Amino acid sequence: MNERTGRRASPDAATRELLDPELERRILALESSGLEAAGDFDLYAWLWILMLGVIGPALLLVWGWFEP
Amino acid sequence: VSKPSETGADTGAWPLLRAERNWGPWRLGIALATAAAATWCYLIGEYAGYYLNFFQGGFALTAGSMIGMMLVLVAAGPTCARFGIESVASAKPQFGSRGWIIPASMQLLSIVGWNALLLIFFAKSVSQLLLVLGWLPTGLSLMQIVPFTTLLACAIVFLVLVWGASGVTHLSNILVAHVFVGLWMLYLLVSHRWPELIAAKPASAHPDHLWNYTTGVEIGIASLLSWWAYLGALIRMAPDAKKVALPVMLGMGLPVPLLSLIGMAGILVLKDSDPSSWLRNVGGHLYAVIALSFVAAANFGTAIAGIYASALGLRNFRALERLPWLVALLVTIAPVAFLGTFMPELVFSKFGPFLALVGVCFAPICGIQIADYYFLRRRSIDIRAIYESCPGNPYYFWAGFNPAAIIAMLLGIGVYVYLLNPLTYESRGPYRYLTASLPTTVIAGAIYIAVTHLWVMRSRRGGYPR
Repeated sequence: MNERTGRRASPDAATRELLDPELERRILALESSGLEAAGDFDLYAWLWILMLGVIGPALLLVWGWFEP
Repeated sequence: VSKPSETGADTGAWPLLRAERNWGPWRLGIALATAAAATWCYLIGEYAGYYLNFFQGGFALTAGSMIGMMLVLVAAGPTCARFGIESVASAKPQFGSRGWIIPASMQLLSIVGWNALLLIFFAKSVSQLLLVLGWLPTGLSLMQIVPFTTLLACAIVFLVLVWGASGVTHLSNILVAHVFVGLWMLYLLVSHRWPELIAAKPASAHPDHLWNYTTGVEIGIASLLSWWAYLGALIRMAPDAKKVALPVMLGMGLPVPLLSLIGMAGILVLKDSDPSSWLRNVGGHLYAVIALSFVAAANFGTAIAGIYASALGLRNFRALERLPWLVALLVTIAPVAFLGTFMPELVFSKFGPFLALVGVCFAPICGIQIADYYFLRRRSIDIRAIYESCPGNPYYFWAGFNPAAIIAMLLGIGVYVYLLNPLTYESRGPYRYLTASLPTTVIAGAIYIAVTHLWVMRSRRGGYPR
């Protein structure tokens, strides 16, 4: 098992489903580039998500509750 | 032939390659904002305005909307943005190589239903605009012209989407102006009626104030969870997940509560959430023309993004995968055009409850995706397995269906309906402290993890890391 992608390490070509050649080309390009693991949320993305999706709403809720 | 290629990959459900994903943060944010802002903003604001005053409604809706947007982004965002795929394909690792039909059905029903409504709203706005301008053909009433305008709107959506994602982004660059027109309308109402606005009491407030506040938050969360259906189709055009967080949270999450304030202010002060009705009283014909143009533009932008997302979702069906893009578009637009043209009044009267029930499904879908991606697969997705459907494929599970996802989905829906009836707004248990969407998301995710550990992983299905 490939640790970064979770993909079978040595897929057996004989057991693979025959995909459209264009789709196969795209999947091979993704598998070989290693972009999939690198392209996940980074620290800054998580900071924005936490700030705008958790901390900000929590502050708004407290503020709004004490509004007249 | 519409088979994805270097020039037409954005019209297929296959993964996009890095070179084809050329939307920067601004371009993505504009497309998302144009998709998010529509007539439903007034409806969302109107519902919140039944229970809360302007300040508390604004705070509760904004907080709820941002929480809902975060859940959708964290659930579908990473897989869609990493591999350049849309929302339905991102659900295959959880629902299975055939079970994805469940979220696909939810997506189709939600988007077709909402877009039929929005295009009818669009048609009514255009018809009213013709009336105000004195351009309505003699002998024709407003309601007689609505089916024709709906059909015309569908034809324009079709023509724009012939260009795929380029059509969406080019039109978004123009239509995004309506967000600012909306904020101007809000300013007009607030500046003209400020004393009445801050003194206005909600018409249907519950005696329990915490219940009202929680309901404002719940309306925000539930409304934004529906963006699950749209998100993947748009964020897959960005190069990677790092660049989508801010545009999604600010571009798609924030405009909805901001524009909802128009509907909330309208219902609190004027007992009418539709700005095209009350703006004529505030500023005469000129303002009415601006408001009607705004409503038409807002709904049109959302309909284009929705039909595009839905057409891409349908491409996951093998039968539609290789069909020309124009045919896939026709298949997607046809039910919208049919409903909008031949039974607009039925759509208006019956589709609200139907869409409320469909919307309940997105909270469990998000919970399942979050549990699977972060806690079970530890961010490892097999892109090949998403597109293979034969036995032996990691996402084949049992006959292509993952029982863990189905059980979690059904129990999640049960939890939601137990906590809050989406049709009557009768609530039970800890709803007043927790909302209904948040516990549903958490419980569906927890059930998914439990069933996967106890059954799926023990049976060595699902391709989970050991």
